[in-house]
Amino acid sequence: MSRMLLILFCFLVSQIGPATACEAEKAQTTARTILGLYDGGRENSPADTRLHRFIELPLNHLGYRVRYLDVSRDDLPQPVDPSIAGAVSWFDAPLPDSERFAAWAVAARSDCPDAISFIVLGETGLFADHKPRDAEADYLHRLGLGWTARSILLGDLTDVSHTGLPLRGFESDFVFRPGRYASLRALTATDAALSVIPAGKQAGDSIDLIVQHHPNAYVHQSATLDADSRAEGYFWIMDPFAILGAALARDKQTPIADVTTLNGRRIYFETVGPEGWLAPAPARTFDEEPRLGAENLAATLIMPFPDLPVTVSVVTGDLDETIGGKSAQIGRRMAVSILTLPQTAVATSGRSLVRHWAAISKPPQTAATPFVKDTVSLDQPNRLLAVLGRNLRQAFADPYAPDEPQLSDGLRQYGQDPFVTGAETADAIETVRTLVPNKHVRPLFLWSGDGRPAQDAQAAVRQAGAAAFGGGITKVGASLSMSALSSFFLSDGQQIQVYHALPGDLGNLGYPLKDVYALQGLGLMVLQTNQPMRLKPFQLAYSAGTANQFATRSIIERLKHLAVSTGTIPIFAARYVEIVEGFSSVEFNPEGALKWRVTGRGGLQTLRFDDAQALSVDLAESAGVLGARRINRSLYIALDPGTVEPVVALTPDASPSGMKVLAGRIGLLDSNLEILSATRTPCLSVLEVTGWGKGEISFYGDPGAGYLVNIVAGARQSAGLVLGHIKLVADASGYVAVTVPTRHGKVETVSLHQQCPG
Amino acid sequence: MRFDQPLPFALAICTFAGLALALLHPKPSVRIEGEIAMMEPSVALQRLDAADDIDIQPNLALTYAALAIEAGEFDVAKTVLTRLQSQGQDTPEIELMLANAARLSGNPKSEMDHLAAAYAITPTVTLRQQLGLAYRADRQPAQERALLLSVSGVDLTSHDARRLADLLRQSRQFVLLEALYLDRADGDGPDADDAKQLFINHLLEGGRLTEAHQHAMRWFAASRQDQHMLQTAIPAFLNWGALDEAMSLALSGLQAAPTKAYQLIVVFLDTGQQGSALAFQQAWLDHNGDIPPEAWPVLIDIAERTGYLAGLRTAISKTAPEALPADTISAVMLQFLRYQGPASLYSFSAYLRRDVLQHQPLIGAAWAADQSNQINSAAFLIAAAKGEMTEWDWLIWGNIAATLKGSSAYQTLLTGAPAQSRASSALQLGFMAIRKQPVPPLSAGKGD
Repeated sequence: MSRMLLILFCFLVSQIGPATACEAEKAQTTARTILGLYDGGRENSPADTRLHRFIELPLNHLGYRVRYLDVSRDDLPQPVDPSIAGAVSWFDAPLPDSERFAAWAVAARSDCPDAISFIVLGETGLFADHKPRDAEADYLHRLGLGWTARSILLGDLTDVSHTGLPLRGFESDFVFRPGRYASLRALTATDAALSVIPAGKQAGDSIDLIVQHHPNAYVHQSATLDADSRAEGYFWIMDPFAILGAALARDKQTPIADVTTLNGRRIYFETVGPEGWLAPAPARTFDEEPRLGAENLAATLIMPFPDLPVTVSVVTGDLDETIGGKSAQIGRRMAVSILTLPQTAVATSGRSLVRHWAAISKPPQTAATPFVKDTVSLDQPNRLLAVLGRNLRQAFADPYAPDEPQLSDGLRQYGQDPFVTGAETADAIETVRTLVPNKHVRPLFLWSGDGRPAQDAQAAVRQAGAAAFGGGITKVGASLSMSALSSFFLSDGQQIQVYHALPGDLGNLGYPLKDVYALQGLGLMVLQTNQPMRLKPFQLAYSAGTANQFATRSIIERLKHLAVSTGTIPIFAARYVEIVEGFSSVEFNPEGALKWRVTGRGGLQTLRFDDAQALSVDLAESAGVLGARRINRSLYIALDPGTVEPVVALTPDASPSGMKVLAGRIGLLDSNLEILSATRTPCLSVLEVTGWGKGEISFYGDPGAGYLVNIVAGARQSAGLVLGHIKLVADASGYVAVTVPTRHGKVETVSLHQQCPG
Repeated sequence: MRFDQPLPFALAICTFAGLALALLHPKPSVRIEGEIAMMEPSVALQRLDAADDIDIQPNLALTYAALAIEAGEFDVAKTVLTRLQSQGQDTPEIELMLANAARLSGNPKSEMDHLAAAYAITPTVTLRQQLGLAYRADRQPAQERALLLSVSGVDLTSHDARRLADLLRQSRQFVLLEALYLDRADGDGPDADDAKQLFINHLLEGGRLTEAHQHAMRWFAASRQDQHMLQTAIPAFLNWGALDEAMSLALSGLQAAPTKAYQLIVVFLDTGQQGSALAFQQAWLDHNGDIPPEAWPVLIDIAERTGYLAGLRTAISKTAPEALPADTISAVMLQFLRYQGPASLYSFSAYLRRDVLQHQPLIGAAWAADQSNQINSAAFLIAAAKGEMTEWDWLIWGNIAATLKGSSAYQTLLTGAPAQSRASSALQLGFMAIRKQPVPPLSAGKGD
């Protein structure tokens, strides 16, 4: 008897042990990496995958970074690290070695199966027409699926059935199409959210197209996206946020790294590409001297907006007469003139304005072969006349007429010199740095054209100390689907390429103007990426040549006004790059049920908690937290840039302010100025801030408290000019708003003395 | 009036000149149009904003509206365009500008109304697609369906036809769906073949086998007996279990174009109907005296996949050895060697020309070994080892090599085979007598 009891006891302990270890792991880590599984035999590189094109953005929004894994060629990691929260695949055909893949997937975190989510979109990677082998069956079982038969032909008479809320589709409703379908069925009927039933059959014979078997999910290809050529794009059928969010949800609140918001306000940044820098604007009369793109840019889109910082990129070829022709004189003058302005930051896109990085980055590069032939060729008929004409043209040339610039080679605007990575990257960065040596903002390298630079080009830019930015989806299309947005960045495992946040005007330039209505849709896109979810910051991306045409110029002007009227916080693009880099590196280490230490955050300064109406940030228990703001159903936490490893603590509290403030202290609600440092002691808070235009800082403190606000020019230690001295009183909720005059990007110090009792 | 009286004459001239000046002086609206064309657009817009309503003629109003839209002044554009409409001017261009202004103002309902109005005036494909897309984006499938149904099925673009089919299927309006399929299938659009396939599948799914067969036959006749049409239709019948109808179609194809109908044999086999494939193969062979050169690869493939060689035997018996190239004969002989062993080659000794044996040395090796010509057999085995062979052929190679044991030829093989080579492995396995087995039929069929 005692022996039996001992055996039973040992068995019970063995069952308890691993569960405890899993629980302990959950308490110690916040996994935020997703493995993006793709078949390299069918999708060339991570940048070309459906996952990257469509799914990575929803994952980024949910706080996850993606690490790509070619399941056909790469080694499959074993064991899978606890930092991996899930694995997402979107195959379109069976894998060459499906059994190997299935065996790996079955073994992945078998010690804690709930610790990793498998989300399968499209094909499972297994052959549909034969009974799955052991590992394959186990893999399907893990997804909550069972294979019932060979693939089946379904026709028009098939019934569609869905459970729960009516399936309206995220952007467009699901439509069933006849074809051959894998006979997969949810093992638990209630897991099936969308099913099809062959004609003449019963519900029990269904084929399930969406199965949610927590923490895993399966979505048949027909329920993912639908292409529509009228929109030149796609509509989402499935709700990617709901499907991914449900699968990846763990039974606890998790912080999300946020790149859209800073100090409680939507980030705004502006980038100007070099396309059209030397392009002459269309003249209205014969004798009119055409102004160049750079001149119109300065006059209409930069100088009239001194309160909006803008990063302006030039190519050094446009500043060099031997490359850009005689117009380069003006180009250089305008570059210095524009980049000297306080509201501008320096950027370059290289030397020769590369249009096809993916093609040109293939070594070795010899002398570029001009795609466009020289206007005078000795092989041409009447070559003597042609030569004579050229000589005469030069002899009687108008000294004010631009000399012909270098010709394009099809891959670059200036294609007559060989492509050299160093000249296009480090040298160009150095050249623009020396143009405006007193600029202290980190320069930006703006990837031009297809935005697909090779690794060596990216490394060269990084080594030169510039922030690299660009690529992703750059053209506004006819569709305003969320599928037309790119992810935050692309990672190759070693470095990241930060993408454009929103598309711009590339592809819409030229005479006559192509589809101005599509470009005007950018305004709608700015609004739709803010409500009901704040998916992206407000980036305004356009080219220098945009200023040459009334239609495009007007759009940009309106959007700049929109940036001001919608209460954004304007920053330079290089700052946004730092924020996204921080998104990639940040880790959250739980120190309690609702408490996390934030490490490796770099320039990231905002965290977000979704569905947090009943939670507030506890400023007393937190460290390095400036404040919080509720936006939609989320709570945005502003971190103190001076604290390397802030601690964020939440508390159950549904107060509208979103924060629990200690007596005598303040909590930041929002600010359109960047807060460089914050020193908070009882009854005194000192903030160093910088920004443009009329600064607005609002915060919560003690209800009815009085404040003496001092605003001094310069950093805290300097004894600068007093810019303002104000008395303010908080309202009944403790809300106070301070107006801070700024000096175009310079630092000001704001001191808030609370009139505390005693 | 007399010319010798200067004053009256001068007065007359001046009066005439004054009248001419007055008549030739441009109207205010024309003058403004001229000015606007020379102005910077933003200045032009300001000028138009300040102009009196009566100065703005329709052409200028359109320019004004376009400028206003470009400047984002959508309400101004709407006012100008609505006024034009109230003056009896309503064109698709005006409605389209109003639609775009509405869209950019975030008013999808108004956008759809204006697009619908533009389409009602001039029903172009572009407008229909814009309106259809707006309906889809606004989740109005009934409206989108009605729009597409207002056009004859034949006149829809391929995309619109597919979209309408989706919507009709979604709303389970199958009568209309069938009519659409028929319109597209009977047309000459790029999706006609797809439509035929979809329609046949639709009928078969509903158990309407006879109708499906009739339509397939009709299309076959109309296509001037295009075998491709049957190659796509027959699998549909087979997938839905309509075996008799599928065979009937195939036999019709055989009657219409006997020479080319061999292509249909593989269709049955690909759909898992081995018995039917072999039966049809026999029918085709019975119908054709001469075997066209392009049919041989198909017959060889059937034999390879099924192991039944009756068809191949019939075919080769109809063809004189000199009529076939070496590669064809060797491919045929290889099947017999694989499935029936070297002894089967005796029946075809007339076909085993030198060039045939050289083309496929494995056959040469088997034939020579059977003739007890060990030296030649070894030479052929060496030649075969240098080429590409399947795993099974390597086993046969080893088996043939084993028959040379004890001879000097075998020693040559042993010493010549590189270590770890495929030949070396085959030599080790060669003692096994191996013959490929036919694949068991799924349905009853004549074996060889």
